[in-house]
Amino acid sequence: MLTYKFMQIAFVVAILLGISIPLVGSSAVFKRLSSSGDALAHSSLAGVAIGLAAGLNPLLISIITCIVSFFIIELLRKKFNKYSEVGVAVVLSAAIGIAGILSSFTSASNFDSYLFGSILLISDTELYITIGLTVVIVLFSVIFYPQIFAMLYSVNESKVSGIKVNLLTFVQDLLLSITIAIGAKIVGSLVVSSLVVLPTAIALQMKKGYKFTMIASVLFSVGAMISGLVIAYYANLKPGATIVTVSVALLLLMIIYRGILTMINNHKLKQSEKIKSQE
Amino acid sequence: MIQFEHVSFSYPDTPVLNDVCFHLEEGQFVGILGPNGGGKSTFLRLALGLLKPSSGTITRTDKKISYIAQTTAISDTSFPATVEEVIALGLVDSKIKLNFRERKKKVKEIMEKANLTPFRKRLVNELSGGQLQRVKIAKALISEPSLLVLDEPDAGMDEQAHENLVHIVHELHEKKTSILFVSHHPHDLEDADAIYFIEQGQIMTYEAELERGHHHVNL
Repeated sequence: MLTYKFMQIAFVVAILLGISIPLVGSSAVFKRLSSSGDALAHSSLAGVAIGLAAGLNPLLISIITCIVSFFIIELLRKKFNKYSEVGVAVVLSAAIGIAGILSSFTSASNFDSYLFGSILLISDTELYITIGLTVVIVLFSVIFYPQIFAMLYSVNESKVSGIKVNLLTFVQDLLLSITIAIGAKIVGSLVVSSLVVLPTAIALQMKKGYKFTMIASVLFSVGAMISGLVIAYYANLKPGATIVTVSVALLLLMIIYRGILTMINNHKLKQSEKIKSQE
Repeated sequence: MIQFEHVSFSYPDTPVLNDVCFHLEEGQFVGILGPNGGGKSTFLRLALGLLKPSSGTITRTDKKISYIAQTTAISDTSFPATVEEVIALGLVDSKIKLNFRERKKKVKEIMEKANLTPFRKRLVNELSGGQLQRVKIAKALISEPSLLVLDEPDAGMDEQAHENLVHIVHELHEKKTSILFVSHHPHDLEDADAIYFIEQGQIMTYEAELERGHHHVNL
């Protein structure tokens, strides 16, 4: 499998995205913005449709559309205040509408490659962009780890202690938008939003601290990417869809494991209470 | 030091504070009382720089401010953070430059002081109200602030935890830390140098409010 160059590149890109997506995606999950990944993924699709219809670089237009969409979501979140999820729904609907209309003006195969991704057909430019993006995200996440953590814990307390909350949020939003646009090209628009949420959701099941959750979500993500690619290769399945299915399976296994663990602990507790009462 | 000069604040179509003048000197302990919806939280958010006044000026000279909020994201969510991690957050951007080992030592010391060592690996959202409050206080104090701001921090506290909090505030006041304490309970503010009452967007000294005969509480 690894004798093919396209598979080697696919594995490298899968590992890089496996690292970068949860690093920026987890903040969206903690800020209760999980569904924004969905809206952004659909916005990237709208961007691709605009690019293809206008004869411009689809990936570039997709990145720009994602960034603009995220800031529209933020704007609408503030506008609707208590109904903050409305912003996500509005952008999602608009993106589907635009992508649907403009897709009639583009070649179906080209559009499909963005819908389901093309991890096995990665150009050198896409590889370099992914490497660059991952380096930036890892550096940002490590250097600003305490500030990001403090901000997620409490925005107000962070502002008071002098953390530049608005600037950090802006950079985070920017990185998430770019990651989703690039991830959408590689694993597909329909798949990338799940990868924003699932690794963190799996890691959260372990009920550990922030640092542990972050490391675990990256490990789960990379693990799901690699095993998804291997399964897709041998079973001749779509890689993006297989990666997501593996992630969902991991989450289910983790939920079952937690359930069994809780049952055992409860049983032990009851037993010790029984022994105590007998004494 | 915090100084409000003729500060007014309104949300669109809703005036909240009107022409407020207020002064908190260095090392002073000032208490704030008042009914819910009277403008206390807005006053505090203005004092902390979280809101900008619609008119008037606010001057703040303190460089190290710690804030114990009424509620935090952690209390009602499943945000994953251990007691040890949350307390260490108090040192982020606190202007105290410490290396990794010094930070760890400082966190360890404050956990021991607050009787939180046995819970250090526990998630904060699994703690009781009183334990969570101790974590919040430890986080606020680890940075050795020059100004401590407390916004009704006794919610969910048992009697013992509440007494401990009042004792800690008393100790800090003796060490000349400035304190701005918003509370529901006048007896929390027994040591205060001055107490203000905020109601319907107006601020007045608590004595003046008592003279108006609205609140007969013995301090």
